[in-house]
Amino acid sequence: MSTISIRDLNLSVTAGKKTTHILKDVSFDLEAGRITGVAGASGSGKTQTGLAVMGLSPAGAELSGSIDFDGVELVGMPAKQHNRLRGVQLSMVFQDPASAFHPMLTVGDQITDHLRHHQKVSKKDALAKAVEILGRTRVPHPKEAVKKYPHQFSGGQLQRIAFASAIICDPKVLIADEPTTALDVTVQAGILRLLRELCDDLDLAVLLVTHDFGVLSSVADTIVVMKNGVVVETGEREAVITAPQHEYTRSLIESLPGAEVSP
Amino acid sequence: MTSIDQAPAAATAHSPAAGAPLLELDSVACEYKLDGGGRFRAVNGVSLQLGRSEVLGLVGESGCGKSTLAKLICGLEKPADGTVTFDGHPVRALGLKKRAKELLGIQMVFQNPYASLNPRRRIRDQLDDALALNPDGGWTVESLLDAVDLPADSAQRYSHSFSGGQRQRIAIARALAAGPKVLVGDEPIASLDAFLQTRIARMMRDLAIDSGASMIFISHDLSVVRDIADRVAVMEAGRIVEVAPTDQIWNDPQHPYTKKLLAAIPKVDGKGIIPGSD
Amino acid sequence: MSIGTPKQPANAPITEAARRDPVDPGLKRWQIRFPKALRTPLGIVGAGILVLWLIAAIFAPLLAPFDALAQNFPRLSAPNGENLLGTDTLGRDVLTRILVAARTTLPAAVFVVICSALLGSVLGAIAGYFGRAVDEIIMRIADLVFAFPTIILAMVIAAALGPGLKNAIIAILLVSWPSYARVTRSLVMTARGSEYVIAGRLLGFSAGRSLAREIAPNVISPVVVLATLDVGSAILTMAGLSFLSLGAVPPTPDWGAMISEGVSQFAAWWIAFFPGLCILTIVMAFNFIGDSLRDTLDPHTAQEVGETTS
Repeated sequence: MSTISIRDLNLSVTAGKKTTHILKDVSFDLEAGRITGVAGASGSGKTQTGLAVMGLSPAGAELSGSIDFDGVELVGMPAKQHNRLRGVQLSMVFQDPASAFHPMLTVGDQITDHLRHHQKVSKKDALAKAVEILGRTRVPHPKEAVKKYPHQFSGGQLQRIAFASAIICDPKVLIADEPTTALDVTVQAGILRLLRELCDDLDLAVLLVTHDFGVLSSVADTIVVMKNGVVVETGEREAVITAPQHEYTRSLIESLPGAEVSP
Repeated sequence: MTSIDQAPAAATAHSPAAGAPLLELDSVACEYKLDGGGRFRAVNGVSLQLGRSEVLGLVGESGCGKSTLAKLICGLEKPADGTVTFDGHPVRALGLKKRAKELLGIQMVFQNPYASLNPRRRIRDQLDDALALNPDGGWTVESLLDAVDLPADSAQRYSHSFSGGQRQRIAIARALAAGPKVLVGDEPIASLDAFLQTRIARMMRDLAIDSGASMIFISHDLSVVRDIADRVAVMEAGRIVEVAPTDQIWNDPQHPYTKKLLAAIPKVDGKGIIPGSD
Repeated sequence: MSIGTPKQPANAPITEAARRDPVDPGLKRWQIRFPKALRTPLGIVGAGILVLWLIAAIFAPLLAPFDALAQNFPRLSAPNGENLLGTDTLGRDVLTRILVAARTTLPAAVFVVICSALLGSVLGAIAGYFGRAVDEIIMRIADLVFAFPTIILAMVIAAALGPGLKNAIIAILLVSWPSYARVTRSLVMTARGSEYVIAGRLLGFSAGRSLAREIAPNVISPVVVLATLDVGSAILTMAGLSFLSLGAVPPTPDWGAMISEGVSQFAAWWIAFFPGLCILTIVMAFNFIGDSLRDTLDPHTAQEVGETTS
């Protein structure tokens, strides 16, 4: 059974008299221990799908359909209840690690903040947990790292810290929105390996949003291709990449430099 | 009077074409002052040559000094050491005065499409500024827009009504209108959608070569550079570590850093292999 | 570069937009003539009030029922059939004096704002574009002015120069330019580093031309908005100076001086009330226009405004 099951999800935003449909009948599943990659150009709705799961849809957005999280319906859930899930069972990592952290607070304070808020852990225990979790995400010298400030880390290390912050409350679902787009290629590989490990070891259901088929080809188990708010293709990684069924998927893969698609 | 006017044009027309490179960097260095005192060498002893009708790809990771190098070529930074020579003329840093006429043949396309067009001026006016430099280039605002696949009525609009990719195409059109001999692209595709990147890069290459210009294409993405460049220069920590024809860089890299960069590119083969795992 | 240069394109985007605006056959005549930048409900109300005041000021000699200086009536008579807004302590007609005062107050306020906006934005643009020592000198002087409350400094300057409308204008000019300098400086500094300005320099623009052609259009509309909003405060400061007998010299009619006179005659409410109402309406009108300009001059919001109102 899937950890998260999205069915006929519709999202529309009304500004003035104009209504824009951002998502149209989006359906797919996230399963524990598997990485589901969502691909699409900007404006395809891939990020909004992730935000809808987190309950972070933009103000004035109309959400309908169903997001089933282990038997709990997330669509229409009161904000307070959603807040209790977010950061604990549902967590997220964003594209730009530099703007995901508060510049004036130590890394330790920031990654233990929601742990202490949600689980009423003492500051000392929380910090010990932070050190452990930073070690797990391979941040060098975790004991010193918790006392440092975000600007003292490189982009790749900050992204590792962001992953640490995301998994510190033992979530079931991790949504990673373009986690490697802002990083150099040589750093990207390390982050992808970390994502794979966390997914396997913690049995996470991962939603990986990206526009990079190279990234999907490396780590995704299932690929969902979106265009203009509609899912055009869903399938196993190798099948989607080597033998795309939909014309749009094919054109995306062919547009990549040096990509060869078997006919 | 006419003989004086024509002399430089005639000189550039045949004599240096014999072998002198169009653009030459000779052990160029650039330093920044650091906040806490001390200096940081962003570019350190770079020597490079760009021939006529050649596309040179410049790759490297963030912070390696490739953008600073682009600025040095355009005269937007003052070199701490070394010289940049364009078509026989030394490139001087741009002060408050007008840019020297003989240097106007170097034009640039910037990284951020959202900042590279003036938000308060119509597209037509911005293209006209560039066309004024090169009235004999055979371009008109309409033909420029057509060359970058934009409708002619774009000329009347302001930049905010265009997407990032469209803005970048307008920026390319503007650079092209000035009739450049060297077109410098400083990460011109980095902030575009992956699916647009190759298309815009190829468009830039084709337009530059068709108009008889050379191009320096700066990118952190080796796979796009592979697609469009004749030669590739790999930069690491302010130095050029390897320069070679594109095929050679791709198939037979010599420097360990080049190898590392190439190995880190994920292959789109659907095999689920994370690059560098083994 | 001359002082006028950066202001040159000032009105260009506005008038150009209005001129090139295709005439929609569905629009009524008065809408076509109405500047596009003011086509918001607030802008229309503000412009309406302002037009009424302009008519009143221009035709004051025809509209005013009596002589502004003649002391022909019973002192302190409440509003009645003959003196519609009553009379003051010297038996002069309040309505007449209000209308005549508008003839000096309005042009003086607009003049002082235009001068300080010009002075301030040129100094600010120079400071922002050239930076270093020039920037330090200009902005430290601006800080010096900012260090004092506006009205106090204006009072000191006006007192030093001696009472009179001309000196009041000079005083307000001297205290109000720094806000333009500060706004323009930061806008120019941001724009100077923008890639479109650098692209212009690469196309061979000199520093002055890039300031006038590339940067000015991006700086002008915030300054215009600030100036419009500032007309209100200039009127208030001028009234304040007159209230303290540092503005127009009696017996010249002036709204501030009239309020000052009314304060000591509390029972005769009409003496202070009506000039106060005048100041209120005119300040409001300019603020409405300023707000409306702010919304419409930005190309992003301008289109939306154009769509919803036309």
